[in-house]
Amino acid sequence: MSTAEIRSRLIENAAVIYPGLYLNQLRGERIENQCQEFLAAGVRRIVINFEETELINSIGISILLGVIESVNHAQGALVLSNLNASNRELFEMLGLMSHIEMVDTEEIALVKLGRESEVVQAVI
Amino acid sequence: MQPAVRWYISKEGFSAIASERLAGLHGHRSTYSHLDLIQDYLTKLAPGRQERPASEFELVIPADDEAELIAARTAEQIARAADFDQEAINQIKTALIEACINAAEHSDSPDRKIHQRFAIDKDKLIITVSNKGKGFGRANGQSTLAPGAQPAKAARGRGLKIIRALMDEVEFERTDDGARLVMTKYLKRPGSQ
Repeated sequence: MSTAEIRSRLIENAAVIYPGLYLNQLRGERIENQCQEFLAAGVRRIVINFEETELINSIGISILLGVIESVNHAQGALVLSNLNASNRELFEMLGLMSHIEMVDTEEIALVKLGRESEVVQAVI
Repeated sequence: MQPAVRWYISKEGFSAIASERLAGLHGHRSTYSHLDLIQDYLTKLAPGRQERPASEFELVIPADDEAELIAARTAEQIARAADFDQEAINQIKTALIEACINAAEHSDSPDRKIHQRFAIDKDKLIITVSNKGKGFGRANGQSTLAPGAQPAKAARGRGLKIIRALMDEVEFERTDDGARLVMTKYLKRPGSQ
């Protein structure tokens, strides 16, 4: 079986994580650990790019929701991007659209997180 | 005079030593899975039910990490051959993955196998996922996690909800040694415009 490796990178103090072909429990836990590392390092803007993700299972979604909660708790923001129609339908079907931020591309996600960061700084 | 024919049936099969001894006794050996197959076949041939599935495929995967991907790929090929569109194919794959995950979590069989059957019948694809164990967990209202199984964090009921939402018909059946989930996807939904 394929490894449960995920990719990630930092772009101007925002992190982008790529779950890979199949978001299951293994990769979900990897994402969870990676996010915790980013948060510990002070990163508060996170994008999860699903461009390479063909399939997501319910366990992966559950873990993802936990990650979102952790990021929000740390006063951060997390956006999902590049979901295909099938995966988007999954979130809609489970009634999770109100729990997540979802945009079409990684670039839009980064811009959105950048604007949100500016708003937060302006408020402070 | 020919010796009596004996047919020995075991839940999960026979060891090599047992098989050798039974062969010496002119005995035939089968498992419960074989019985299920024979029963299904005879049911289809029963009077009044002359139709037989156009095509049938079987797959057995281990209840291991990501083995359900193999099942999904198989379902994809079969559904594509049956002229399902890409949206339906994606739905079938997703539902099957959830069914396999459920089967793996709730199976208490030492062989840790998940059996699948794909039957293309006129305008529908019927997928049967069976496991040896107490059932499909929340599907029968009972918590039946296999010993040592690690419940996924907060996956509560989402898998079943996904299956029911994506497939046109979903039925749970108890078998002698486990449970069976039968999912049907129509090429065109019944009553659709």
